Amino acid sequence: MTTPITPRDWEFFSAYLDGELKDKEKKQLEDRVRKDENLRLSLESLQQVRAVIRSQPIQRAPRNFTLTPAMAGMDKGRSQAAPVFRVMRLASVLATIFLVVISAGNLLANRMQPVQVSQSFPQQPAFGMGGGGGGDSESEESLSVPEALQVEEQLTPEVSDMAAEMLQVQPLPAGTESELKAAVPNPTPTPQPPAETLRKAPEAGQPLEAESDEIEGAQTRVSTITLIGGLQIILAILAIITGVLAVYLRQSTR
Amino acid sequence: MDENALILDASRGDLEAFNRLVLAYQDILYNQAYRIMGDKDSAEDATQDAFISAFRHLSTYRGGSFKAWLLRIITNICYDELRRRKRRPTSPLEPLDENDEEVESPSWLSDPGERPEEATERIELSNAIQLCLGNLPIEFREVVILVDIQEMDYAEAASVIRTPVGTVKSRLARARVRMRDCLQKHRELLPASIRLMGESKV
Repeated sequence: MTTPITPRDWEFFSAYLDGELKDKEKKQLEDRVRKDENLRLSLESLQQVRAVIRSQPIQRAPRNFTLTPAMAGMDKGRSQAAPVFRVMRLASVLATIFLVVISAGNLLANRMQPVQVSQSFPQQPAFGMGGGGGGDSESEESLSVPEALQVEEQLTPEVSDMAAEMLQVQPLPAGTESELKAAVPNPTPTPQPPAETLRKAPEAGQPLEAESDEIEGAQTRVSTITLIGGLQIILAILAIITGVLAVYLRQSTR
Repeated sequence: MDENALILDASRGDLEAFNRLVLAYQDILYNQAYRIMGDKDSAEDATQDAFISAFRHLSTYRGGSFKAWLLRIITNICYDELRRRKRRPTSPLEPLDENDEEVESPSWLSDPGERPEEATERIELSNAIQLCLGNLPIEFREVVILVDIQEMDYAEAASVIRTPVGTVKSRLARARVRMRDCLQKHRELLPASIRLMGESKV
């Protein structure tokens, strides 16, 4: 007896050869094959095809397919870090350059400072004489000390020394005092009003205004010096941080 | 070190651990690619691409058979390449005969005069099988390769191609019947032991 082979039969043959049929299905198929010559031949042909395909040797890889970091995309981090590294390096260099320029400028300014102070010294006697209230050198000194102390409070120790030096009135040369006393008819010593009052009083005159300008100038210079000092510190910190970051990025992306 | 530890290390970016997995699976993947693509150069490219893709997408591996996961990747890569070729066909590699017609037989790839007879027979059989595999629709081809060449069971093959086991079963049966018909057409390429395959009524 021969029966046409259906797609379902081929599925059973195929699964039978692969051992994927249940015991019951397997037994039924074996019974049918035993009775049907066409089924038997079909099963054998499929068995041969399967054997032929399975006889094929494994194609061995002709080379190793191991990955390099570039293949694995591990250079991505490196390429992403590169712009950051360049920015850090540039920032470090710029900060260092500015720091050097500002420091050099500041140093030059400090060296020029004593020259300016000594130039103002000849004006000191006129400053004291025209005050109207200043009779002796003691009172002249007492005029400037409160102001100097006021300024001193705002200064750093080194800068305050410099400011105090600038504000300090030179003692008059010997003999000048007696000459001055003679020149003034009634040298009645009066209590020294505060600098603010002097500044506002119209009778204070030009010398007091000059003194006030000098103090303000000194304050401005002091605040400028403080500002420059702060800027130097900030630039130094910036240069160090960006430099360290640049070195770190350089090392980590190698 | 066991496979799971290597996979874990590789997923953390350890390329050396991943390369140990590559060495363990490269033959399997290359073989799969070669059987699907039908030529060695394409198989090499696909294998390399598959490992690169596997490393980059290792975080998507959710356990189970790592071999099946890798085979799924390379099978998809081969499909994509075959689809691309279908959209942009290129010149065939087959040589032309004296009438400027393509010599379809793959026997031109071998050089029987320089090889022992057995080697020639083996190569011709291999070429015939490769030719017939190439003639199968892709979904049939992959099942034959997974079950008959990679020697997976139906469940494993189903996990690779993400289809039910029943689908694997029916596709495999139909693929084998087509392979049988194809090989019978190229009997002259088959060794004598295979030429006597039964001719049953279908």
